Amino acid sequence: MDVEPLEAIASVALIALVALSAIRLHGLGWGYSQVTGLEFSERVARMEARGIAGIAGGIFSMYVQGDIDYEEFIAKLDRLVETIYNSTGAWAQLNASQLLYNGSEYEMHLVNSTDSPTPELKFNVTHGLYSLPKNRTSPVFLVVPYREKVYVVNHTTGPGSPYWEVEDVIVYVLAFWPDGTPITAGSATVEVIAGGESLRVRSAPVQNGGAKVVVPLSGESYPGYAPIDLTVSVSYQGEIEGVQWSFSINRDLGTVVTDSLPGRDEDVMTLNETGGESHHFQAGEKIVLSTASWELWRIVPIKMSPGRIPPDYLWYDPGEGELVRVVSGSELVVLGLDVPPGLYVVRHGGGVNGAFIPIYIYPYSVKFEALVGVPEG
Amino acid sequence: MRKVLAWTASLVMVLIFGLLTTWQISRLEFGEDPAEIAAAERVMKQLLENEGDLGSTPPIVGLASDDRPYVINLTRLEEVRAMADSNYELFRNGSGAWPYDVLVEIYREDPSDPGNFEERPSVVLGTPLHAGLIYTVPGYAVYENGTLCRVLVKLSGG
Repeated sequence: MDVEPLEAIASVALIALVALSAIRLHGLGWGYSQVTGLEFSERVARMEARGIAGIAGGIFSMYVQGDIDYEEFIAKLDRLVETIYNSTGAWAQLNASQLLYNGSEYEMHLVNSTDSPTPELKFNVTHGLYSLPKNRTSPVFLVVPYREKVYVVNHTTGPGSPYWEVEDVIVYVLAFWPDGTPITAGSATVEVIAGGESLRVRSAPVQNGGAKVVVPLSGESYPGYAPIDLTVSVSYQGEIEGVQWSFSINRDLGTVVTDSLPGRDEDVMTLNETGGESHHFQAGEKIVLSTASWELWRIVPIKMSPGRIPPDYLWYDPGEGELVRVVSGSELVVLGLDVPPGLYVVRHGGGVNGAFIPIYIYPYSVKFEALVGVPEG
Repeated sequence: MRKVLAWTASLVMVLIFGLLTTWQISRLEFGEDPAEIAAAERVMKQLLENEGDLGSTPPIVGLASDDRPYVINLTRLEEVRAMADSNYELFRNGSGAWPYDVLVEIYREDPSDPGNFEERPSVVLGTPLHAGLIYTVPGYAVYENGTLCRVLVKLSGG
C-alpha cells in the first residue's frame, strides 16, 4: 500500500491529538469508576477538620447524656483519628476548650493520631462549638432527702412523759428537663407523718430547678413514743410551659433512736465563692464547702440518659460517687470535661450521718479544635 | 488536482477541529468549578449538621440526630435512603445539590478491622455519576450506636 507523505503526517498528527486528549481525560477521570481517591488539598483538609471537630461534639453529647463514660469518649476520639490516618494518611489532632464561668477558656489536648510523624504542613484549624443538646420531652422530678435517716429521742422521765423529739426534716424536690435545664414552676409540699398522724406540712415554690422544703420539728415535744419510721408524703403541682404536672410519693424516712439529738443542724452546705448558700454552679466556678473535712465530700452525677431514670419522678437513693477536683481543704472546683453539666448530688459523710445536697452544674459550651495535616513531601 | 485540493482542505479542517478539541480538554481542571465545590460542601454540611424535614415542601434532607450534629440518626437515614431510591430528583433538590448530580457514600468502620473503614460503602444515596468531572468532599460522622463512618459527597454535571 502506497502512503502519501501528507497522509502519513496527517495520520500521525490525528493519532497524537487523540492520544493527548485521552491522556488528559484519563487524568481528569473518565467517570465514577475512575474517581477513587481524594487529592489532599487545603480545602479537603478544612472539610476533614470540620468533620472531626463536629464528630467530637457528637460523641461528647453521648458522654454528657450518659450513653458512654469519659474513658469511652476519649477512646472513640482516639479511634477516630487513628481511622482517619489509616484511611487517608492525614494526621489529625483534637483539642477542646471549655468556656469557663469567668470568661476564660480551659484548654485541654484530647487525642492525636498515633504512630505518625508530626506533620510539617498543617493545613487547617477548624473550630466546632458544642452546646448541650436540648431535651424537653418530659420534666423529671427527683426527691432528695437531706438525711438518710432522722434522729429521734424518747423521753420516759419527767413531766408529761413519755414524749419524743425529732430533728427538722429537710427534703429537696427537684424539677428539671432531661437535658439538665432547671425548671421554675409550681410548688412542692412535704408532709411529715408519724404513726398515721400528720405532724406538720410545709410548702415551697420550685425555683431554678428545685424547692428546699424545711419542715421544722425540733424543739417540740410529741406525746408517746417515737414511731419506728417517720413517713414523708411529698407532692408537686405546677404548670410547666402550659401543661399541668403533678405527682406524689410516700416514703419512710427511717429513724435512729438516740439518747439526745445530735447537733447536726443544717451545717453542711454548698456555698458559692461569696459564701452564700447555692445549688447552682457553672463550669469553672468554685464550690466552697461549709465543712472543711473535704475528704468526706463526694459528688454523684445523676444520669439523665433516657432509660436510666424513670420518666416522671423518683426518690434519690444514695450511691457511691467520685470525688471531684479539690483545690483546697474546703473548695471543690468544677473544671474540665470530666465533669459534664447536669444534676449532681453532693454527699457529705456516709451512713446515717450522711447529708445529700443537690447541685446543678449549668450547661456550658465546649469548643473542639481539629488540626489536620500531612507530612511534608 | 481538484481532488487533491479538496482532500487537503478536509484534512486541514479536521486538524483544526482536533487541535481546538485538544486545547479545550487541556483547559479542563479537576474540581476547579467553585460553584460545584461550594455545592458539595453545602450538601455535606446539610447532611451531617441538619436534622432535615422530609415532610416539608421542598423537603430538607438531613441525617443528624436531634440537636446532635455529626451523629447520624438511623431512622432518618433509612427515610432518606427510601426517598433517594424512589425519587432521586426530590433527594437531589432536598439535599441542596441541584443542579448537580449527587452521590453520597457512607463507609462504616470495619468491625473486623478496627481503625479502618470498610472498602465498600454500606450506604449509597443518589445516582451513579457518569460525567467526567466529579468533585468529592470527605466528612466523618458517627452512628447513634457509636459506629464511626466516613461520608463522601460526590457531585458532577451541573
